[in-house]
Amino acid sequence: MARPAFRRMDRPEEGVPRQVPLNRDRALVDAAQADPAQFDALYRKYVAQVYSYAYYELRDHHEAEDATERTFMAALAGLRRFEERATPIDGRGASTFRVWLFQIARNAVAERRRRLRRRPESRLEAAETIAATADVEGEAARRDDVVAAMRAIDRLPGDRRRAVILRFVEEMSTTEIAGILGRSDGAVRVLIHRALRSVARDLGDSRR
Amino acid sequence: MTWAPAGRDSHDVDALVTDRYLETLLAAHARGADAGPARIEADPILRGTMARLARDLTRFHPSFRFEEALADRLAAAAERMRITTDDVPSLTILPDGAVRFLPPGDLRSAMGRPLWIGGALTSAALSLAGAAYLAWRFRRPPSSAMARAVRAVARARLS
Repeated sequence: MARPAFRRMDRPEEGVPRQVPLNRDRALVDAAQADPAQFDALYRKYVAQVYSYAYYELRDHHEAEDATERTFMAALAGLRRFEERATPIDGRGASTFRVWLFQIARNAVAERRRRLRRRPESRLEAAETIAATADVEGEAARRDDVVAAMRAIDRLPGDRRRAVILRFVEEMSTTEIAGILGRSDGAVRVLIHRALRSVARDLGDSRR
Repeated sequence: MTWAPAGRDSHDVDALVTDRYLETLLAAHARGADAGPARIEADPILRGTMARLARDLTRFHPSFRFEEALADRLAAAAERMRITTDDVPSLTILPDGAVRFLPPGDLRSAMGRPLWIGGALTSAALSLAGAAYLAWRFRRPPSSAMARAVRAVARARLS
């Protein structure tokens, strides 16, 4: 008998992990697989998440837009092949549309990063630009905090950086991140733990 | 030093505690609360770092112009996909034995119960031999009483 898959919850009590069904996009995916025009609903739901992930990784507005476009075009083209496998029995390998979409985004971003590595630019300037965008209130101290946090994230190696972005910015569960990075839940927990230690050291140093 | 249960080393346990704390911290942020959970005893330095990242790493949104332009391009691509998947003619054998390429939408109107042989135009070469064989079988007079009966039933279903 099929059982619902639950991982996170929208409004949890303190100390209780959030649980949201992993297969929460099933209806939208079914509709889009039957009629590609219905893909728009999935696009609207996830465009900001994919763009934000790409922006954090690439630190360039146009590059992030390009990676976002490639991601959704590839997702639309491959949607018929996507299979929802989110059942509790599938455990950590449970597939969700969001995990699948971010696997595509990760590849698109990696491709752009490879290209950018051949054409290096000032990451510092990019961080300042992001901080300026985030600084809606015009608070200098807040902007300095954001810049320092962005720099600390920037210094993390590949998967640690991705895991932190997906965890803090996209608020994904460990299981979802594990699916995107192709690692176990435990490995992702350790990645994030070590990343936080590095960031804590970095931020501690930047205060001195 | 962190006490580790059997099968887990201290790194795993520390990571698990951090993960648990982070999960509840992000949940608190989703509720609009600033404070993290008090019941989970995570490393105080990491607690501060997690609180800071949860506050400072905000989501960035694409411009409205980009979002709408990409939506239009996706809609156009979806329309092209719909055309290629729905309207590609398939190699079809009609009840009278004739073999024709018909769009899927025309099958029902062309015949009561179509015999669908081919998929898309690209696979037509593979299907042609099968189509020719079935057309030959269809036109060949039945050799036995049972074959005649089967065909009569098939004809009755088609009509």
